[in-house]
Amino acid sequence: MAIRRIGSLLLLAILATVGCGYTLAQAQEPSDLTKLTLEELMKIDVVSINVLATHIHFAGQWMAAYEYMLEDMDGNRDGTRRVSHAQILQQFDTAPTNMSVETHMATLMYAPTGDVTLSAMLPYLLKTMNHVTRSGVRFTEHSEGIGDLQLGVLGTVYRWGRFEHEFLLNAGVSVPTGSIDEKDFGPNRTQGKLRLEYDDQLGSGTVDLLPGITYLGQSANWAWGSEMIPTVRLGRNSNHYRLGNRYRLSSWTARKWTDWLSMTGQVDGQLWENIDGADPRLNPAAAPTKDPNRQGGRRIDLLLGLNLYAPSGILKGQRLAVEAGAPVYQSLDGPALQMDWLVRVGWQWIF
Amino acid sequence: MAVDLLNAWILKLSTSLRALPAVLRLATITGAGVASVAVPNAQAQSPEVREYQIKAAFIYNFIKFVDWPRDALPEGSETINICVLRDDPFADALESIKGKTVKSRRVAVRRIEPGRDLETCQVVFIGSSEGKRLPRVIESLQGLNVLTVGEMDRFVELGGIINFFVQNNRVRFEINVNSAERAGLKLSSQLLSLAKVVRQ
Repeated sequence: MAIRRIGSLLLLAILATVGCGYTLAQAQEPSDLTKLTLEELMKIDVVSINVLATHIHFAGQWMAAYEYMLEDMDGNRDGTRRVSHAQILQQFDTAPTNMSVETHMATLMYAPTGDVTLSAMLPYLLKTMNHVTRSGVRFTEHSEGIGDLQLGVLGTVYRWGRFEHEFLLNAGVSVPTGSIDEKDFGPNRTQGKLRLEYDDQLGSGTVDLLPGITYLGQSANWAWGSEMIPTVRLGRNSNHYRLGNRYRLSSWTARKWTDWLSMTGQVDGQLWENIDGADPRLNPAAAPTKDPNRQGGRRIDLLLGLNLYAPSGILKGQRLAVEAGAPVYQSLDGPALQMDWLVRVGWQWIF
Repeated sequence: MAVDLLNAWILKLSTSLRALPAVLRLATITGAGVASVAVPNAQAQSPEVREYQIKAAFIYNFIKFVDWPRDALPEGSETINICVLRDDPFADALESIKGKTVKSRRVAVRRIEPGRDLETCQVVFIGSSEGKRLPRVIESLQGLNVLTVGEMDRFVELGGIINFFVQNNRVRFEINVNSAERAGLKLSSQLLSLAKVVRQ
């Protein structure tokens, strides 16, 4: 709970800072640039990093970011069909009812050159899953801790004009810093803490590759882009399994309304495979969440959001993004918990 | 207190959303802030437009730091003419300096063809579209007291006076002081201190 309080405090501080500081951010460069001296003109960016949130980092720039994400899963689905707890309990001892995943993601990026950006991302996860047993007992399992560290290099391979169109290649690796040995009490506390199911673990336990390709485009008032970053798992972890590979394709667009406000829309498609191998401490007949062959799925999410950006003033370079969405399609190798909705609040500071 | 309120709000949001029909859910979680936003469209610029607005402001400033011979800029003359050769990459950017006063004269902007009316120009901007014809253009300006400004590789090496380039996302300029001397122009030390100086 302490981390939730810290996260909420940080979120509140960001909201307050951006809210109170917005007025200060209005001290912008004059619309008539002839009022500036030569020295001042030499300090003006030709391509300004702006509220459209395209991924442009110039040589020597750093970016620090924090994102809070809340994902809510409620009810179960098998294929595209909804299934009730009662239907699941005809086959299994336990059925999951709902789950929330909170992610506090810290990101640091640095651009050693105008064409290369290095990144490091470390999540702190809080997972809570509720269950019901065949005898009607309801219980909650909780896990909390750091997830897998992601390190990446992002390189521009083609750029047209002054960032009107840009293609980038991603080369990343996920280091297994997240625990795969999380335990909690089940329905019978006398059994002590038991190994939690695959979804409640905090990491993959394997070194994963994150290759990818990104396209970015922008005009005066619009930005758009598309990104494909698969997660390719290598080997098996110490608990004798490998999470399924994950393939993700996102496309988005952003519309600038003012220098400090833009609206975004995103379509996010994901496909993730079933688990290879199995954790011997998890009985696949006890609950669908413990069956390695019921973990895969496909989903398309639709997300809408707002970006607030301070183009100048004491908050220059800071951006607050709020995004929320829900699936428009999902098909699960279930029965498995279905995604209900998700919310993201992020803060970025480029310096 | 505020943290507790925020925690409670997240919990309440989570509970409330579950109670809504799926169709309304997405609209609620995204629409509340978005739908009410009715702000005027920003006067946005593409990166290219912005670059030329910056360059136009630079040219305006250059005039302050250059002294022309009396013959080229007689006392009592009313205008300083900035001429853009053939293809004009500035579009409307030069409109921002048109009519402004510098050195007690009004700035005028003219579009010209090579070899025509050059003697009436105090500044000639030569865009990158003239790259292949640059030696001939420079030759046609010989003997005239004209400040040539360009934006292409080897501009100053080929006899141009001031050349723009973009470095680390900012506009910079280089100056060939010998070309300036040949054109009979005096450049201030302040201008030279900000430029990459080339002697040739």
